[in-house]
Amino acid sequence: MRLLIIEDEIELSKSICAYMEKNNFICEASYDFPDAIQKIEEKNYECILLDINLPKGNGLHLLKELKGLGKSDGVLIISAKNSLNDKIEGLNLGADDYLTKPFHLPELSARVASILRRKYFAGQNRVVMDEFTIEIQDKIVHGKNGTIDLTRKEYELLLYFTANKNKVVTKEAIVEHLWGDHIDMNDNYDFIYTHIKNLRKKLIQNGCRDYIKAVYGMGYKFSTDPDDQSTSKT
Amino acid sequence: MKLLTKYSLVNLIMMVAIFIVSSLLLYKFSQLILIREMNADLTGVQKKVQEYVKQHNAFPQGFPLDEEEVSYVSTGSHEITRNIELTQLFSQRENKMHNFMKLDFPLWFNKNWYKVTIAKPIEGMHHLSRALITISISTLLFIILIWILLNSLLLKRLWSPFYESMDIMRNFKLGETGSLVFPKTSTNEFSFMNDNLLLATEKAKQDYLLLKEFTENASHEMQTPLSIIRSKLDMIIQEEELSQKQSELAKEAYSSIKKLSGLNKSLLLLAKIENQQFDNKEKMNLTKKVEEKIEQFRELWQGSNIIITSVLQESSCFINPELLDILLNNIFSNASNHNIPNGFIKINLAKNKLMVSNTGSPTPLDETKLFTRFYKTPVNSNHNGLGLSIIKQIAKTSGIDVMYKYTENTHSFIVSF
Repeated sequence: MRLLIIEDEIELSKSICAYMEKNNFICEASYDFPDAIQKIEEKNYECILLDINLPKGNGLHLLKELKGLGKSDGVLIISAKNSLNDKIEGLNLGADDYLTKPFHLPELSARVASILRRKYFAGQNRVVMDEFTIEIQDKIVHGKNGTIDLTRKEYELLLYFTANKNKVVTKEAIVEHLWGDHIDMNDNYDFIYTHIKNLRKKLIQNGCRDYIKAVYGMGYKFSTDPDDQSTSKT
Repeated sequence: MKLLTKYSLVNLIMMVAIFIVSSLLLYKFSQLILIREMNADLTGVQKKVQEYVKQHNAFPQGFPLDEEEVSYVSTGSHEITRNIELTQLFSQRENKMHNFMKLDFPLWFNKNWYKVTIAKPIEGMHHLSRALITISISTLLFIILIWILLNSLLLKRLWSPFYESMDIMRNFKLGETGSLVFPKTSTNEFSFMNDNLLLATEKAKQDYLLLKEFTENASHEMQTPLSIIRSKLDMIIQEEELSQKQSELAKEAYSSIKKLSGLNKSLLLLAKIENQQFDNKEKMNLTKKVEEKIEQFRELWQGSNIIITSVLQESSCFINPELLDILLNNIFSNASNHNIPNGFIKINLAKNKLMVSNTGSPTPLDETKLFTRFYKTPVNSNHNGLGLSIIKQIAKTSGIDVMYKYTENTHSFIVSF
C-alpha cells in the first residue's frame, strides 16, 4: 500500500510516516504544492493525506487537480482549520474524509483503513485476522466458534484496534474515537474499561487469544503476537 | 436631574429673587416720591393759608370739594414747631380710620399763636402698592409659564441630537458590522461630540477586530505544533523498552496536550461564533436532540455513579444544528464535571425551556462572573473555564436565554428557546 503524505510540517510528516510504515504502508512525503502535483501526476497511491494550507498553493486546488486527472486515490484531508465549509468543500471535491489537527495517530490510521476498505474492498468489505473476521457491511464478527455478539461500541472498538495492530493506543484516543471529542471528559476515562473488559471476555470465550493488553494504565495494545507478554501490566 | 431642569431651576430662582427685589425697590421709591410730592402739596396749602390770613385777616373756610381737612387751634402765647408726619386719623367722609399726611404749622393771628393742621388722605398709596404687587406676581407667573413652554418645546428640540446620539451609543455593540450613523446637527457642540464618538467607536471596533484576528491566528498557529507534539508522543509510547515511569510521564504530557488543544479549540469556536460563521438556522426537534445527548452521556454518568432523571416534553426550536449540539454538550459536560460522587442530574425539557440541574459544590456560583471567559471555581480548576462563555455566546447569537439558579446544593441552568 502506498501512502502520500502532503504536509508542510516536516516533523509531523515524519511521525505519520513512521507510524504508518509499521502498518505496512510505503510512505512518501511531499512538503509543498509543486512537488505534490508532480508526485500525483507521476504515480498512483492507495491513499493521499492532504494538508489544505500548503506552501505555494492550496490543498483544495490539488484535490481538484487530482480529480481532473481522473485518479481514484483515496484522499484524507488533514487540516488545522476545523471549518465546516472547508470540510463540505473538500468532501464535495471528492475527498473521502476530513481530520482536524491535532489528531491522534491511531485515529489517522483508523480513518485511512476505513477509506481503503471502502475504496478497494467494496463488495467483500471485511477485515480478516487469523482468529476472527469482521464483516464491515453487516457489522458482524465471525470467530472460530461462530458469530461473536458485540455491542456497537465493542464492535467499533475492535475495528479501531485492528487498524492499530500492535500499537499502543491511549485511552484518550479511544474515547475520542468512540465518543467524539466534543464531550469534555475531565480526564476520567475509566468508563471505557467496561467496554474493553467485555470485548476481551467475548473474544476469549470464542476461543481467541487474549489480544488486548493494558499498558501501564495509560492505554491498550492489540497484540497479534501470541508471545507478546511485555506490556500486560496494568 | 436633567441639565435642562437644573439650568431652568437656577434661572427661575434668580428671576424670582430679582423680581422680588425690584418690586420692593419700586414700591419704596414710589412711596418716597409720593410722600415728597405730598409734602410739596401741603407746603403749598400752608402758603395759601398764610397769604389768605394776611390779606383777609381771617381764616379761610374749607371748601367742600377740597381733599384737605384744615383745622385751627389756638395755642395762646406758645408757638409750636412745624411738623409733617404720616398718621392715622378719623376720616369723617368715610367714617373710619385712615392714613393721612398731616402738617402742623404755627400762625400768628389776632395776637395769638395758632396751630394750623392740614391733613390729606393718602388713599392712593394703598392702591399703588397693590397694583405693583399684582403686576409683579402676574409678570412672574407669566415668565415662568413662558419658561416652561420654552423648555418643553424649544430646548427639547435643541437637545434632541444629543439624546439621539446617546440612543445610538447605547445600542452600539462591538463585533457588529457597519459604522454608526449619527444624526446631522447644526449645533457645533453636538457635531463635535458625534465626531468624537464616531472616532472612538471606530477605534474600538478596529482594536476588537485585531484582537479577534489575533486570537484566531494564534489558535490556528498553535494547532500545528500541538499536532507534532501529540504525534511524537504517539510514537514514543510505541517504544518496546518503555518503563512504567516513562509511561507515566507520557500520560501526563498527553493530558496537558489535551487540555491545551481543548483550550485552543474553545477559543477558535468562540471566535467563529462571534464571526457569525454559524448563521444557517433550522427547525430542530429538541426532544430528539436531548434524548440523543442523554444516550451519549449515559455511560459517562454511570461511570461516575451519577443518577440521571429526565422528563422530556415535545419541544422544538429554530437554531443552527451545530450550535445546538455544542450547547447541549457543554451544558451536559458542565453538569457532570462539576458534580459530586453519587450525585444526580435532572433534565427537564418543557415547551421551549430546558432545565439541567445537578448536585455540586455547596456554595452558589458567582452569577456576575459565571459566563465570563476563564471563570473558574476554586474547587474545580481542571477546566479551561470557557464552557459557559461558549454557552453564553451561542445564546447571544441564537437569540435564546440562559439563566443560572442555585437552590439547596443544586445548580441549575435554564435555557429558554
